[in-house]
Amino acid sequence: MRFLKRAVPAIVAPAALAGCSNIQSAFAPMGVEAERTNVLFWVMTAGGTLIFIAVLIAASVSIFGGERARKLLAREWFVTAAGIWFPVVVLSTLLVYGFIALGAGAAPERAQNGLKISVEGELWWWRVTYERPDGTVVETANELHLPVGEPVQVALTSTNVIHSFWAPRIAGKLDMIPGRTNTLTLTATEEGVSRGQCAEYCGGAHALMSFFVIAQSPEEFEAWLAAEARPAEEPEGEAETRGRDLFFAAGCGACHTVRGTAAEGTIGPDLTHVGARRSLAAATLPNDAEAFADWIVDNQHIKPENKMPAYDIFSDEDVSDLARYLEGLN
Amino acid sequence: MAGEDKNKPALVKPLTRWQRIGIAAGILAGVLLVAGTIFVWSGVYNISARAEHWTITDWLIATTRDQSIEASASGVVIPSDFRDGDRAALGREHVRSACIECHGAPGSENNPIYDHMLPEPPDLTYAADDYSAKELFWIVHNGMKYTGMPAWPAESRDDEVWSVVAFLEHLNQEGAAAFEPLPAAGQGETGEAVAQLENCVRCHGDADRPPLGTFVPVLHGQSRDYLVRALREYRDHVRPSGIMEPVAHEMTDTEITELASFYAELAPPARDWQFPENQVARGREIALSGLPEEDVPACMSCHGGNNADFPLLAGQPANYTSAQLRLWSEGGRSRSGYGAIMAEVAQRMSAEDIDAVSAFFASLAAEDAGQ
Repeated sequence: MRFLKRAVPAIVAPAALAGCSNIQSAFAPMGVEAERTNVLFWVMTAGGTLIFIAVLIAASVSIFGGERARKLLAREWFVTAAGIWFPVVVLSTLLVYGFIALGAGAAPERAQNGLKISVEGELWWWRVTYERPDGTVVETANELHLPVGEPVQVALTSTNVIHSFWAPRIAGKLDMIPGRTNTLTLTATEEGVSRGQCAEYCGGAHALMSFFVIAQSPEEFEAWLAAEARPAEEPEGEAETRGRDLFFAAGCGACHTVRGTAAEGTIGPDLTHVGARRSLAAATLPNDAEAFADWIVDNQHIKPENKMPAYDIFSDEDVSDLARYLEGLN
Repeated sequence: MAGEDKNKPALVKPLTRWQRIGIAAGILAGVLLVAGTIFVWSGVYNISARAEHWTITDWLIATTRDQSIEASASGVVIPSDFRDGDRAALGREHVRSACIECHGAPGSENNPIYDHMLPEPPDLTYAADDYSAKELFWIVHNGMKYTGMPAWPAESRDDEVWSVVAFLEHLNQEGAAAFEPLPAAGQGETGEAVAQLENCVRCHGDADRPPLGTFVPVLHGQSRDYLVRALREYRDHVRPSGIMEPVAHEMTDTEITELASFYAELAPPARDWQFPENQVARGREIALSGLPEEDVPACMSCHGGNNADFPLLAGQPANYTSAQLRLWSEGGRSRSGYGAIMAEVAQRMSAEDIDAVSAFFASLAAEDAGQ
């Protein structure tokens, strides 16, 4: 049960952090859309509170007030104004404001940099693909990098069940529906790391389907994307080299891609630079050799019914070498 | 009490008819219980196998047995193809090595030890007269209490049990001739005998003979490490087989290594299995590229020959490969680490894809033999 000791803090920590560090809080917006949502929320809450207080006052006066005040409340013009005109005006204004704030009906802002990002909901992880203006495609997983200040369109799809993509500090949530492509425009406003998760129940491990959003300056983003586009580096150490040989001999490449090698599987996440990511198993485990080892052997306990079979065929040394190789893919 | 009351007649109320019957039945039951207890405890019943049962005991046992078999077997589903192909040949060799020890073979004299069992193991020639295919399956699969008939050692291997049933039907039609041909003794390529080899050769063949039929895997040229692993898994009851577990049970580590080396060094036999072209093409696609949309990885990424722990699949008979894939998809072969991985993959494959990929690997036998 060694993995439990490690998996539990990894699962619990973000939840605990959300309370104190706002890593996944919609009240701490880091994106244009999340800011609008935040403002809309406060405007609605404040307005609603004011109206609620006014209604309470009117109700109190009608029950406990003097005869003059109660007569005033009973006049037809008051009932018409407060009961019909006031709600019509307030609700219509709010509706129009809401439309404007959320940009409903307007064509989404075009990405300036020609970058196309698509996120595909898998069981239970996120396949993230960047298509650069020159046509090169870079696939990664469970991590969305965004250039600050540039609107980016993200195409959301699924080939299995309905998921919902939600990065609360960047934007609102949007469903990923099999058979259609939903487009979400994300504009990060400040640099930093935040967390998102699937917001539509999608099966047993739904709660373990999270991801990190890394908002970077456009220069850093370009540098990251260029590094991500490079093929994997050959391992150097002895253990890492043995691990690589095991990776291929054990058929891992049937499901995983390591660009620059014979591993070209597309069933599981691309592992070309897996060691450089912030987490393993969709923000379920930390990213280190021990977590890789736990995942290879115990993944069906960590994330039950995920599509990777548990590999109970390796010696401890084999697992450790494999983990060293994978950790070194950065 | 009634006598104290002067106003009512001092009569005992008569018992009703049912009360009298009840009392009589109670007394009878008590007598039977006491008699039964005396019968059991006195040791008067002769349990000796030399003494036949009383006629009434015989009737009771036989009726209970046959009613139980009929009732239990009513839920058995007969696979549509169990009489097809050469399945009965595998059943024949298992019957030869395991069943005739007690049941005897028609036309040959039985070991007197088993002639003195009670019940005496019946002549298998008539099994299919007395029982339907469903009932035979149930008997071979489950065995029978108080008779010495064991249950099939591997509960999940219905396919193996059906091969025995297929042979029992064949035996019923052919009589003693069904046991032909008699297998040759096993010889290494150099002619020296390898321990236990005789038992292997009857089904798996040797340098001169191909394996027996299409339900038996080809071991010629198979990865030595894989063969060692397979035999150890059979011996440790990790890989289920009512046929192979008893065979492997007899083997020492040295024998396992010797036998694995013997087969690993043999050249694959020439076979020319034909399959529909589109089926082979579909199978080739699955083997080489997998079915990413079904989450099925390519077979060759593990079975491509660069890892000695994974078996080579080229040239394996289609019936064997598809039976194993079905066994995996039904969860019958997932106790070993390797088996658990394959079970996961097989569960994602449709019946058509299992047949296609099995046909593809079988179709490679002709190429292999030509090399």
